[in-house]
Amino acid sequence: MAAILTIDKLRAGYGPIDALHDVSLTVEAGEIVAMIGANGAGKTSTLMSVSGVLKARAGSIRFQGQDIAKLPAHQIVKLGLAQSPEGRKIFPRLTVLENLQMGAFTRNDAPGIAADIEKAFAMFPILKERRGQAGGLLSGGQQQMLAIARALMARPKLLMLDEPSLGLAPQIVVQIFDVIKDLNKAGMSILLVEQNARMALRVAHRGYVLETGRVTMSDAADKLLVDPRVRAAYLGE
Amino acid sequence: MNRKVGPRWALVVFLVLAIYPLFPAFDGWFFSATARSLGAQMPTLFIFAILAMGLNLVVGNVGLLHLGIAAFFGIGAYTMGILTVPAYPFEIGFWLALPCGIAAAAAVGLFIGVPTLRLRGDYLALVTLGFGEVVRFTLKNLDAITAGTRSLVPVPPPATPILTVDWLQDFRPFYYLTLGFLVIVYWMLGSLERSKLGRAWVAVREDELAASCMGLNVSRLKLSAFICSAGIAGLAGGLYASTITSTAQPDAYDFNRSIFLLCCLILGGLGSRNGVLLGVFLLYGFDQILSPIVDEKLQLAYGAPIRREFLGIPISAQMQTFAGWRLFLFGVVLIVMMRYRPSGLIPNDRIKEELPPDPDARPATK
Repeated sequence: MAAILTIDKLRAGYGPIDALHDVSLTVEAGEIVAMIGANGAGKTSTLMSVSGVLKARAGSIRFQGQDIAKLPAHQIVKLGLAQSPEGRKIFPRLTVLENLQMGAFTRNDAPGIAADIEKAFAMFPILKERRGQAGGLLSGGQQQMLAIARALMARPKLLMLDEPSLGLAPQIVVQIFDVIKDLNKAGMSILLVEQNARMALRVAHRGYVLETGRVTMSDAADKLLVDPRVRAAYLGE
Repeated sequence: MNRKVGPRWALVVFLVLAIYPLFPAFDGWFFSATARSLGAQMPTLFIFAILAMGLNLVVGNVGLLHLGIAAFFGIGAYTMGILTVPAYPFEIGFWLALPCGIAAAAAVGLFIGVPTLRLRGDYLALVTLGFGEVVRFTLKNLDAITAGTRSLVPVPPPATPILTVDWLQDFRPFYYLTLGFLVIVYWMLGSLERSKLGRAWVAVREDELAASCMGLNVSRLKLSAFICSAGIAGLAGGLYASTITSTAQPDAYDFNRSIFLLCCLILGGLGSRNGVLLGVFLLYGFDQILSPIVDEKLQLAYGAPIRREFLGIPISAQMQTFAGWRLFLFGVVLIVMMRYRPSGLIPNDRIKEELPPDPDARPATK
């Protein structure tokens, strides 16, 4: 297996403060990698650095062998790296359909986009039912589905999901994680950030634990699930 | 459904405006007391409607607070002036000077937009405000080029090689010229709104972070809207200079003009082209057409001035006329609007969902 994403000694931050001091991780092609950690550990900052929204101050981010640390955000999406940001961030006044079209903004193949919209509707039939409604009128779970579907519209090779379970009812969380598993079975590489460590480690192949901007542990997901330190700190046991 | 109703109404309005000058008797009957022609006032109104729609592109569609639109209007007018008046050797005529005015305004928009569009919210408002004043003072003090407060005259009317047109006595040629440009701008902005670019602008207004996660180049999108609006303002400026046969005084392009246009947008409905048209027709119609008529009628009926003092307080000459109270009235109207209908008279479909007219009727979310 080849690494699709390699982050090496990444440092990034906001104003005078570094949020990430030393983050190194890899995602192999076809893998689900979970990043877990407390609030403020740097999980979202890591994803934002990969997306190019937050500029890396040191270290390298390589996507399929190409250094993307210095690229602007809109070019990174074109390379095949899409993010579904924390809090879903759908466009509330655009319709469901327009939200999906926005996800395909960097693409120019109209027939391909239309086919992918049909695929998204097949994956989430509720979105097809509500295609003409404003995104802001969807329920939280539907918005999360829309956010994932919208990220997929860019035809990414690596999908980054930031807190897909945030604020959702437990049944909906299960549904969302089923979708994540199915996507991965179809060959999608996924980098998953979650507060819900148990759910995340159950679907992931490998996991990384972040603490105050540093990777403190990394192992196979099933080993992290039984690791006493992880159990004490993140699984509440 | 709603989206279909809007354009049809606009079509009716444009049709009425198009046939109106064919009935000169109506004009005389309605305004006999004033010896004014409504039709003669309309070209300026159409020009301000074009300008307001340009401003709406930036403020309504992309959500940037732009307080210096009058500067681009002025640049368009002065480009038209410099390229056509006999005092300069160019005299290239209206039809060539108009695209030059658009290009000049758009180029200045690019120049000012590149460094400033990375600023957010209030800072951008301050820069555009300052820029507007800089342009006005430059026009005023660059006497050798702009003739300062004397303004450049005479700006010739458009050349029409086949027809012989009486541009100066008859109001109709300018009426149809400006109405034609208004319809073109209205239609172009409509198709722009429905395009991929238009949706992307809305996405930037809604959520910049999400937009950049989708691969939208946010600063490029803002810049494109800023330049488009500058170009439209340049077009309006060129038409204005030709219509009034002079570049007008630099003070015609001051901060008040920008704010007044912003009021039109807020009254009519931010982001909605029909709303903007209505706002311009109401506010400029009131300001330029209705209040002079009311003043003349008042004078005929009572003789001027009506009273010189009120409760022993002397009333200034300005406040003795109806027109003197207009800014006061605008203020009241804006406050009432903000309280009872913050999304404007004809709200944008997308914004309507966020700001229901009745605050208690807000649909329960979640």
